Amino acid sequence: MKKIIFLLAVVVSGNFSTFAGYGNSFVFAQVRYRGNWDPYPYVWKDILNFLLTTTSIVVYPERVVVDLSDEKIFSLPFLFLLGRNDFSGFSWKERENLRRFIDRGGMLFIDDSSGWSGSDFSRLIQKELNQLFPEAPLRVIPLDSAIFRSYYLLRTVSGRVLVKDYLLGSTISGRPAIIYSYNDLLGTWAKDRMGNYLWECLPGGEKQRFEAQKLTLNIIMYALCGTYKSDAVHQPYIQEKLKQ
Amino acid sequence: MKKVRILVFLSLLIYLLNPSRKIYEKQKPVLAIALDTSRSFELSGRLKEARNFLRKNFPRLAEEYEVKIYCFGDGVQEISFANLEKCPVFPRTAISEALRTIRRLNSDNLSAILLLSDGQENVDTSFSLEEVLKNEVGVPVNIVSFENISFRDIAIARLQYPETTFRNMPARVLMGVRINGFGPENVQVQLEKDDKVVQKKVVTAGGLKSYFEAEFVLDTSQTGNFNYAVRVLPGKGEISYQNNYQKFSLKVLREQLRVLYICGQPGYDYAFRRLVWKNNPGIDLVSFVILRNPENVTLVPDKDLSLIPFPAYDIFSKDLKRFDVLVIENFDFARFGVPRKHFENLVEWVRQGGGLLLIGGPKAFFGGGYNLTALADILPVEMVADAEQMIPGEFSVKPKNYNFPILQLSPDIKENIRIWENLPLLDTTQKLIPARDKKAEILLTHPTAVIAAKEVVVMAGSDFGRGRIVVFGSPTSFRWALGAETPQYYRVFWENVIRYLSHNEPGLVVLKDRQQVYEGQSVNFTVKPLVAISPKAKLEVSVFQPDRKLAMFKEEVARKGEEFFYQQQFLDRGRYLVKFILRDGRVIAQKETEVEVVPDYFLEEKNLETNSGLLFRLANVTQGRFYPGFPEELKLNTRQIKMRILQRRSYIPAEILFGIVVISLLGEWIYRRLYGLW
Repeated sequence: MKKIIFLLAVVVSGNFSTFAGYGNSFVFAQVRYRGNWDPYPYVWKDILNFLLTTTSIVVYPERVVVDLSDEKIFSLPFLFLLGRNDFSGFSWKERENLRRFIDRGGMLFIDDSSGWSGSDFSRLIQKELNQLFPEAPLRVIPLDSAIFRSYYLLRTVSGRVLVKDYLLGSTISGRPAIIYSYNDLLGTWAKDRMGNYLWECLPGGEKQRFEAQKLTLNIIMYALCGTYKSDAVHQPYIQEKLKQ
Repeated sequence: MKKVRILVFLSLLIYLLNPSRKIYEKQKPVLAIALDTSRSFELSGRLKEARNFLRKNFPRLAEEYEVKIYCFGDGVQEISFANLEKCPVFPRTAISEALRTIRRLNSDNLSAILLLSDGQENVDTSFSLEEVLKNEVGVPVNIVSFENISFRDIAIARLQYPETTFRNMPARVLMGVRINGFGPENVQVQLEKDDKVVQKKVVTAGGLKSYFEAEFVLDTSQTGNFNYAVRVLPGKGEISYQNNYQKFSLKVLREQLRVLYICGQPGYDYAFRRLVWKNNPGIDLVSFVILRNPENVTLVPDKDLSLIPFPAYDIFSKDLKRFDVLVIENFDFARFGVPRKHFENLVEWVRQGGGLLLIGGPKAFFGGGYNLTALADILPVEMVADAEQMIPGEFSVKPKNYNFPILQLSPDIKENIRIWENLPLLDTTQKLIPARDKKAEILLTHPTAVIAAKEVVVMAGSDFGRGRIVVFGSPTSFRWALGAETPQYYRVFWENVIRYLSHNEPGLVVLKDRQQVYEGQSVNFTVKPLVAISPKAKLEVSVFQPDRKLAMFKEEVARKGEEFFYQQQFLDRGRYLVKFILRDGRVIAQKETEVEVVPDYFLEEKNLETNSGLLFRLANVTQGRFYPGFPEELKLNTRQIKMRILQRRSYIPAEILFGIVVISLLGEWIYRRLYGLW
């Protein structure tokens, strides 16, 4: 059903990029590193489909895989970084590039796919980030942040497993430039070859899955709109809806 | 011999000590009468009254004192009593300088000064009158001010107004009017703007002498410099009309630039540009992003979405005039119910001073149907009719005019060129070519793309009426931030665009220490640049006479930190033009300001009242007496004059002492020769 809707959306809106480069399209750009960088190789398709169906975002139709040492990251303002258990750290060049990328306005979303808070990935990557950005340590993102209101009005943090009920973020130049999820957000999109969801969402089931998918969309929308939904013109509407 | 030596020694000692007696002579104390013969004293009738006063009291004063009469204004002239009617009338009043002069001319035997004045000093001095009286005059100053003289005059006695305010902030002018010599009657006061009456009020003022205040509210809906005046209509037989009006200026500033940003879809370009403008405290940004198209499916009820209705009608009709700049990025207006007619409102809004920025994308320009709207006639570019609107591929822009304000990313010319050459590549741009028969500035072009034998335009700007339009064809300028070694130039670029569109280019703020300038007065200017400047930057000044001939040119004025200071004296009346140009190799900013110099008799006629408060304090400081009106019996406080030493007579004349010394020494010499005592 969702595929039909997607095709209709494509036909009606023509949102696929028709130009050679990325242009101003949203690009699902994923970071490759030494370790288990790609636990969910195909989720990007469903995420892009969901964006096309639900929003006016124009997407680049293919996933772009990029190394942090590659200068190409400076044309891709939003990067996904997934990890499961192992993480052997960044090279000197990767650190340099990541620092410059964030300082110049780039945004990084890190999703821990292990499903538990004590994973090596979680520990090592957070250590790496704290060394890279000592002035902006990872802190809890409050629920009234624009991230939770950028498209859907979200009242909780979700994921495949509810390891933590919060997201972490590093605020640089007044904006959360790095967002970290413990809850394996992208795991809620993974499907088998028959199109069935691969993982059960615990403990909330399908309702939790949908909340996680909405959070994924919100994070992407936040990358493309910034704190737009914190503007004064939106507040009366948002407050009214939150009361309902 | 010993006795002779002692005698010589004593003689010398007496000679040195010179015991003597003083013979004194009693001298007649001097009374200096300082008679104010300035225009204000004469016009009000007080000078006539003062002459009558002197005629009545002079014989008695002359018995007791040696009386000297001095006329003063902004000069001093001694006259005799016989020539009392022949005092010169001075155009201005400098009481303190007159008293200093009189004191210098009469040294030890000056016992008092009798000051006949209204106390309205109007010459700039670096000292205060009280300081002069305390430290330099040193004698009691007795004062008569003839306050009770009646004359017919209606004058603006007080004017209170803001020099600057922000747009739409309330601003009021308060005028105080003093009426002398008129009975209860209606008095009309009015507010004039650019010599046209904009507001009037009628006040009933009562009594022979009265004071009332009237307030006007100023229009602050537009920004700019505005020339106002307040006027009270003259009464019949007034002695002066010069004090019936006063001019003032009001500068209305933007509180913040109001920018409305409509974006047809979420995108990195919006996110980056929004951050720049949102972080600028001088910009109040309101933005609407179309997050969902009509065909999108959200799968949740509306209450779970943060989406708000897009107020298309309000934005393009009534709300538009609240904004200074409108940005439209890749917005498919037809899908959101914006009729083409609304674009006529938009064109009129630009004509009236609005700034319009159009940013490219598949749904912008021809792709969004803008070619069928009124905008098509005013854009600085021509929209290419092609289903494929975007030229694919990465490219580096080709600046056409580095000196254009938007393209000045650095005040240094060479540095600016270097910055542009090193900016990262953009990715795709709209198919736009220069408009035919239009006066537009082509700013950036594609290096290779050509359509209909014309370079593809990436950026262009033009004026339209009082407003401006800028088009930017590429939706990927965010690369100038993300991909640049020095990402701050991305911010500078988009701030330059807003500044250009709102006519708020880097400029100078010129402050003057006085608004009303009289002949001979100096004005101190403080000039502040609105942009950061290098240590090498210099400010030059040119002063043009009322006939616009160059009166003065200075290549470099004094600088302290980020401010410049300049003083200019204006000798003659008229409207002068003072032009400041800030240079750092090339012109960075410039500003002109006008200075209107009015005749100095305006000074005297402006205020015909007595400054009794000041005169009372002055009499107190010097321990003199103060008579506000015509005294029936004049008593003066004076200083005791010491008797003059006429002569000193020594008890033993010096000649005798000298003779004693010589004879003693001679005697000793003879004695020694006779008795061989060498």
